[in-house]
Amino acid sequence: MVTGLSGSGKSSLAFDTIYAEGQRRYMESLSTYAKRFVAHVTKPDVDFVFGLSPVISIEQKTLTSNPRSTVGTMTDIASYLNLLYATIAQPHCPRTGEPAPSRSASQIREAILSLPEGAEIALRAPVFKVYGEELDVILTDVRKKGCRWLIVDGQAVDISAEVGLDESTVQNMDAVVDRFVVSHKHEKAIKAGIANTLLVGDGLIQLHVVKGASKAETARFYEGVCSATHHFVYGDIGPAYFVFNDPESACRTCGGLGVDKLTHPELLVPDPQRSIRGGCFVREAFKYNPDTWDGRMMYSLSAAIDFPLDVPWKDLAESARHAILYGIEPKKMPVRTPPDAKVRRDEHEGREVGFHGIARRIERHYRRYRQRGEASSRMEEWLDKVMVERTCPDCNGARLRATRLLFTVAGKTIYDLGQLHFDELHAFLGTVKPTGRSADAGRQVVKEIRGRLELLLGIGLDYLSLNRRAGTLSGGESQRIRLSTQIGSGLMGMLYVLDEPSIGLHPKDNVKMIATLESLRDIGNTVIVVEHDEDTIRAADHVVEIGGPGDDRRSAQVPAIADGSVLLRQAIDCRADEAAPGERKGAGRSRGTREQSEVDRRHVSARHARRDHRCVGIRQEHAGERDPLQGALETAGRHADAAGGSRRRGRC
Amino acid sequence: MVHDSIQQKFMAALDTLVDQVKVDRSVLAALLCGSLSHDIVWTKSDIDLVLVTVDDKKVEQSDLSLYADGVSVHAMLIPRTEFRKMVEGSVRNSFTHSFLTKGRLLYTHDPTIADLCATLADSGRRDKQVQLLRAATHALPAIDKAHKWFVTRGDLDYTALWILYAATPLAQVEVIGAGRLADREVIPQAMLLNPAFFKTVYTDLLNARKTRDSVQAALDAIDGYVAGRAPMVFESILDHLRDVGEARSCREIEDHFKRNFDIGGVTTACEYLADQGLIGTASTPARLTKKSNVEVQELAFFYIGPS
Ligand SMILES: [Zn+2]
Repeated sequence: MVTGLSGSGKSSLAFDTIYAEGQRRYMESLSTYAKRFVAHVTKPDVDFVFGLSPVISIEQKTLTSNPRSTVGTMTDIASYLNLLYATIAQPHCPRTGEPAPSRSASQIREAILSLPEGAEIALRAPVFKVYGEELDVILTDVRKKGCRWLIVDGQAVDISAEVGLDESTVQNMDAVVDRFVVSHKHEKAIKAGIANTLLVGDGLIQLHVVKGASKAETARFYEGVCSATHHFVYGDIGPAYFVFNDPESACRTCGGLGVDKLTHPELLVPDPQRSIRGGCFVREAFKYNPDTWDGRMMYSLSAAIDFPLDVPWKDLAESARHAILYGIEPKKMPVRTPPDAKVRRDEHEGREVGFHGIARRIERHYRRYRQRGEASSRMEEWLDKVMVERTCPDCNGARLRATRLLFTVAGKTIYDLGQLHFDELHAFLGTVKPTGRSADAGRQVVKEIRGRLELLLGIGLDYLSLNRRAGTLSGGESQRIRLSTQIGSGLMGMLYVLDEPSIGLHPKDNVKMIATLESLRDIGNTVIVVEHDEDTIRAADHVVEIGGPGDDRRSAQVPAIADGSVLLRQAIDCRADEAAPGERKGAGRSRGTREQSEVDRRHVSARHARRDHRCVGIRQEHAGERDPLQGALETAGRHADAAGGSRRRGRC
Repeated sequence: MVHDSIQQKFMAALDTLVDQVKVDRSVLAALLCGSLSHDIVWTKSDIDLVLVTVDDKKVEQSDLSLYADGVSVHAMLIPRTEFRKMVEGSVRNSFTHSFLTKGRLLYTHDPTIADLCATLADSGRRDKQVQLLRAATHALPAIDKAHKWFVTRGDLDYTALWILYAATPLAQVEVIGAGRLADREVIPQAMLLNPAFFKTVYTDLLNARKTRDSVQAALDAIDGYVAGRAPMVFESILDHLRDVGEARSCREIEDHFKRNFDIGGVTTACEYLADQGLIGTASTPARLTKKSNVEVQELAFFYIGPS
């Protein structure tokens, strides 16, 4: 526990010295190659630091504005859920919604080989329409993956020929990926064919017996391995299938962000008092210039549907405003040159052209930008000026491709689970009873998830959900989540540095927080906390006070190091008498006596740390090893020294 | 007669090799490709053999040179899945496809490979459209260069060289347009189909002394040839611009063709079509780089024909 007045250098000791040195040493241990990828850490201004464990800092800052980070990804629970869904979820047919089996590739191969020798089987992969994408793009993609034939609503179509497919009427498409004659001598070909089909079908295969098997044999085959109506089977589904940060699994429209952007009229026209000619649009969207093609189009539109260019935007007819923003499709308009154009150009004058609108054009640019998968801050900036975020219309915020949401555990999709509050999720998982051949593995995963949820519930985070974006968490919330993740990870021998974990906590939750810190210590770690909160200080094994009472706020002068909460009075304004022993649950007993007897500023070395202290603080005991606390304390002393203050030696 | 005896020597060597390979269960099929399958062999010929192998991590796609009874054999090992993709996928637009198409299946252990080989010859209309666009788009820059050197410098040799560069893609247009598969050696194919044109732009430029008139004639012939076929070879571009209805920037058009047909460089084709009065030229506001804060006008095109 490091305490003291603000500005006394508490954080400086905990973070800039102990943590920084730990980090620096870790970096030193990296290979020269790895070092090139990490930022350089300068050596803290200390003489030496002794006995330092690997350090992890858990700060208050919301570290990430990464939209791909969620509570689920922060806590690792998302990974366990992915595993759970890959293990025990029930998949469904993408067309009928009826249950479809999930098998390993080798199980599918075995099933195929169980057909009579000489039977012919085709492996097909379902092809799905992509939101906002032309059919041509999808067909090109299928061709690139090596398929020529598509079964479109039951009809074989050669896609190397002109495809007169009407996008609006096409329902079901399956690409024929491979065809085999069943025989053990073709086993390797069948194996490769299955793998290839799963690639084209994104985890799905449609099995189709072409000929060579009796009706009964065919029926038995279908019944054994695939769904009833469309004969689908999911193959080799692993946890990655459910990871929205994996481009192969992410929703194609939003790329796994769950949100999409849409133009907003009020952003496009910030000042409706102005006219089009007077510059009512944001510069990023449209600027009227009679000498550009854009200007010519706007003038042509005004002539075609009859609206003036110099009347305030707000006074234009609703139909005109709509046409300007969203176009006049499928109508055309004759091209007209504005009378105020400096250069008269008669080419194309009077030709019929279409006009799709200013807003549509921006949305088109946005889609192109997304499709290219680029990340440009300038582009984002530009888009933010004219577009607003909305829930992705393709995945409805689920971030995943539709096929992933066909997997359910007790009727809920992985997205549904992510929407539940932790207390609800914990209760729900309690009702999940895995069955079938993966039941054991499933039970293990459920247990693991519930265990981690309990840690989160234990620090008062019952109201959070896994889908919550990390960027929307408060600093305290994200600190506590990271804390619980550390406990969940079960690492030992670490040194954790925390910054005021009590901030923003309800008193009842603070108790939980302290208990969490205690469990971090109990599993064999050292915890350094910078804190002002009384309860937390009381709970510490050791307290380091920097710049104590009567110090005239001179910073970083004297580190006072005390055993237990001996410094309490000074640190918390001499209210020692209020703290009766045993008042706080699990924090009293062995401490009470000392608390009353010792109030002087005695500095206690780490050697005096006692195993039975029921309080949080700097402590870790490794048999036969030097106590790292001693190092930390020496650091503390030297830190103060380095800061230029007169120093009272901590060790007696 | 000499040819016949060479042919016999080759066939005998091939038979021996095939008998050996047949026993190898990791080879599913053998296709005889190259000249021995459809053309005249000569003493320096070698045998081109495509061996379709089982799909196995241990069997890689590779080329190797074999030796059979004094004849060298160039063998390409292609795993079955890859072979399938070559035959059925869009890779079939490539040279490999025509190489395979002219091949002859010698034997196979897998009847589905025989079925695949049977479909090799027919090329779909959509593929044909894409191939035509690709060939024509490829010819345009060379034609432009030829014009430039003729008009600005009057350099007959260099102009002729650029015309000869254009001859191959133009021959592809001719052959594909006639519904055939363009080979690696496409000019001799095209000369049979359109002797007059290829005499002017190819044979005459190579064999006769170049005069201003003969080079001018070649340029005129090419211009006429491309102009006459523009609506056919650039059909995909016209279709696209008609479908979208309004002006599209070069970058957008390029993107579209890259994504939809895997073809780059269509801006040149658009410029050509605009010069021919088949599409209109417009402009759209654009920024030069991601970092630019100044707006410039980017070239754009729109459809002007009947809808
Ligand atoms: Zn989405």
